[in-house]
Amino acid sequence: MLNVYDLEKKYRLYKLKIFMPYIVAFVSLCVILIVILFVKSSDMFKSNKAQHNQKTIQTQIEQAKTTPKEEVIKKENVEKNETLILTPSLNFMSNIKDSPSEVRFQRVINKEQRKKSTEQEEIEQEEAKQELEPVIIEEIELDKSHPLKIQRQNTQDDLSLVLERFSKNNNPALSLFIAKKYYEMQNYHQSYNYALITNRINDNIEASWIVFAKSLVKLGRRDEAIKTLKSYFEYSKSTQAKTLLEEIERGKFR
Amino acid sequence: MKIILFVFLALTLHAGIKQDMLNLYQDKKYKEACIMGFANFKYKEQDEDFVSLYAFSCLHSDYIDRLALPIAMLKLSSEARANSAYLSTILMQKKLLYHALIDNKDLSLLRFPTTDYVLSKVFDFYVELGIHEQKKVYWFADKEDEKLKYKLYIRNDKELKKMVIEEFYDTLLLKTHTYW
Repeated sequence: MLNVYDLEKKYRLYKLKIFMPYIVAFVSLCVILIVILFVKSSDMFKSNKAQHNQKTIQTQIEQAKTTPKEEVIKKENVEKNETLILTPSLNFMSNIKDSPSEVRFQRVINKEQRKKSTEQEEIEQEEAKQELEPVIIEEIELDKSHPLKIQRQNTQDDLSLVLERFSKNNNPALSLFIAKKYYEMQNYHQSYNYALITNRINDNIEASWIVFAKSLVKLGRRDEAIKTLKSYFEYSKSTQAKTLLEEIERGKFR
Repeated sequence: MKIILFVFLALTLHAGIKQDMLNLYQDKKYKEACIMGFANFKYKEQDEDFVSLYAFSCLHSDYIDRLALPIAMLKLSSEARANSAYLSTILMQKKLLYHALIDNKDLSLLRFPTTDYVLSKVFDFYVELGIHEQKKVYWFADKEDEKLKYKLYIRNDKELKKMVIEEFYDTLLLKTHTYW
């Protein structure tokens, strides 16, 4: 005897299995459609909001048009008195510094540095071993017929190099050096200028004030030099400034 | 495989360009950085960090006209938009001042935002003069430091007139900017 009930059950399951992919596809399509509709409706809502904002702006403009002229004039005056100052934003530089290529580059450098340091350590260890061995010092007679000559570079060349360096890093020590050099070369106008720049960068350098005052005297601006030295002495109580001031006042320094 | 290698090489080279430009910028070699940026602009025009760096390099080397493209390109981030506004102000001020000096155009009615750049300072001084008789040379003293002075004049070169701004500290010439 056939069990019809079981057979029918099996048949239903078989049919369900056949239709399952279609059902899944249908359900997923429905979900996708719902999502799309939801996204579109939110966009619509946003655009509606924008339209609403536009409308409010328009109404505000209309209101502004209808307000008395006096108020508008007052607002314009306030706007005219204030100037907008724009400033650049240089954060992008830190972004470039933190970029992956830079990190990779740094890693390579670190590896190379590690290699170098290990090599250096090995060399140092070998040198230390060698140092332990007794060293015999041989006496060498100096060749007196060819004495060692140290040639000094031209001052102008020195100066141009220092000037170049100063233009790059604005170091007050360099500008003071330039001022002193110009003073030595009796170019008092330039020594005055560079002493002035040094004082502008750092107003606590005594030597710079001294060169500045001396240059002023040499340029025939004695009174200005005295005034400058007096104010500097009051501020710093510098003995060097005081002695120079006395020398200028007595006429010892011309 | 060859294509992948080529793409990889190209990518690493372009990553290096930005870093090289930054190094040049930090060494105050603005002109070199600007030229390098100009040569590689078409490959990197979507990279706002690169475009900003290129723009500021050109600004500091007085290649103001090269700012036009970065001004148009900088728009995606807030920082980029701020820089774009800053640079466009300078570019417009340069064009207006050049026009005013050569063609005697009155700028007294203009109200512009200002910047910390030397051209903006000189532009503000010039606008403050109002309607005036044209001079050959203008001298302006800085409001914060009286010893800091700006000399503005037009230099007649062979083919075109150039606007020159000289920065002085007391009697010492600090920097010369030439625009055209």
